[in-house]
Amino acid sequence: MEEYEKIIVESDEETGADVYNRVIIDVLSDLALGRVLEKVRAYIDVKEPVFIFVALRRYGLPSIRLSDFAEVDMGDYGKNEVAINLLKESYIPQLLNKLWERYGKGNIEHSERNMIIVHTPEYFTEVDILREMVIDEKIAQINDRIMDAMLRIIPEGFRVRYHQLTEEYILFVASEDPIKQEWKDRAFTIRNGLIKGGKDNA
Amino acid sequence: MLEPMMYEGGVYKHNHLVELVEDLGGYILQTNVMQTEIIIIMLVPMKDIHLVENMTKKLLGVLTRAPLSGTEIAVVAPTLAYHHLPHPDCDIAEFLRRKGAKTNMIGLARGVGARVCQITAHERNLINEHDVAVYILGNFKHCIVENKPKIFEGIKIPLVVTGAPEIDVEEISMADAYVGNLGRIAHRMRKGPEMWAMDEAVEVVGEILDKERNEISKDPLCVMPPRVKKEIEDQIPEIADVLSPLPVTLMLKGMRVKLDYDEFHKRIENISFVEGVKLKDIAYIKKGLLKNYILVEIKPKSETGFII
Repeated sequence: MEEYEKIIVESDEETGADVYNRVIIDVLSDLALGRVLEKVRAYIDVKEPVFIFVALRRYGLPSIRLSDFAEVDMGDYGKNEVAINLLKESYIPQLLNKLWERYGKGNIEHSERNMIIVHTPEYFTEVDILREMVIDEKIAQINDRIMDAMLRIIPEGFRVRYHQLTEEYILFVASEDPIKQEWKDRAFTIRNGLIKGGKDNA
Repeated sequence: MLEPMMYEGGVYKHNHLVELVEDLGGYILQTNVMQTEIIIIMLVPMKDIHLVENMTKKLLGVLTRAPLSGTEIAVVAPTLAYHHLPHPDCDIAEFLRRKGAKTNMIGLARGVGARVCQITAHERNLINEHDVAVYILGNFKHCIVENKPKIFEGIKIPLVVTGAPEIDVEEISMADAYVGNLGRIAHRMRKGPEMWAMDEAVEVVGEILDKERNEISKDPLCVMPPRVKKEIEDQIPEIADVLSPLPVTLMLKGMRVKLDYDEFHKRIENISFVEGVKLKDIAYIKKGLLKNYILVEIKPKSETGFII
């Protein structure tokens, strides 16, 4: 049944492993990552010393593009502009920042609440680019939170680190000495086991 | 012999208790008023405790022994990063304060790690200015027993260590006591076993302090620290303007006066007692490492030959 456990911490010292299990639960719940990580496996050997953390990720929310919350069209006939009709107000700050960066503040007109006019001579091609523009990247925020959680979980003195962060998993090896290949191999074995287990269950 | 006591009750008529304690020759160390409630930490002559108990009953308050009052305790963490704060360091410090202690939290610059942990001479001297040091360590026995004694080196005051595993105190070199079930955790301690462990830590510190007080009574100080505190408050009015908590913090063998050393040490040295002695005759006045504050170390009777 062990492979179904969400969090497993392995160590020679039972008490240490139990308390660390609790630390991982606390940190993940503090940063609201409980639903982001599917399975977590940690291995701690204080004699070496090494800390290995491997977690399988769930697929997160897709990025938000401009066309998801606005209608983007060319402006009135004869004008070099693109008109953005906003259907949702929640992303306006991020959108304005991106537009200012790309076109300059002087070329962005936001006189009406739900309408943004972008002045650009290339309006013909810019319409398509704007429609596909990524406004809010959820995955980047989640990655930041995952890194934050890692730094909180790993023992503070273990400042030499090796990590892999992909869409599928997170792998961390930390120690206060240079990372040995055998530690990495151990981490890879845990990771492969997790990925295989995940696929079998699916 | 004075007994450290704590009164918890209403503000109404609490001055009756204060006056009683002063009349009995006791000292009020600290009063905390919280709206209509008050907590008074005081030293009461042992043979007169029943009088104070009677007064407490009359005022409908609660009187408990506060073994940690009149002491300054260093709560030492490997660093002050979020791995250790606010839990469990602040929780343990809070429990110590509830029993009357003044705690100072000290985060070492490089106290983390196993092989790499270290302590500087400055940190060591700073910790040695206190009565007891409580080191708050982590979850693994190997780390606490094998690696961490490096950061206990040179600590001359009694040393209490806390951590998660159960360890026999004999196994940790230089430690005077060890309290388990208090590891590195990331949540507020509120469950039964955690609270009991913190109670145990407080109890252990109390026992160590009682032992220290016993040792001191074999060669008593030539003046009681609370009396010096009272004289400082009477003779140096500037102390009333100090905003730090406990402007005169009592310790077992002296006190920390939270005034600038360069500006005030001459006046502190010249504090006079009715017996005709000055403070500089019966105490060492030093510059403390904490913010240039003044450290007063009272000499024992064996050095001066008299007690006032």
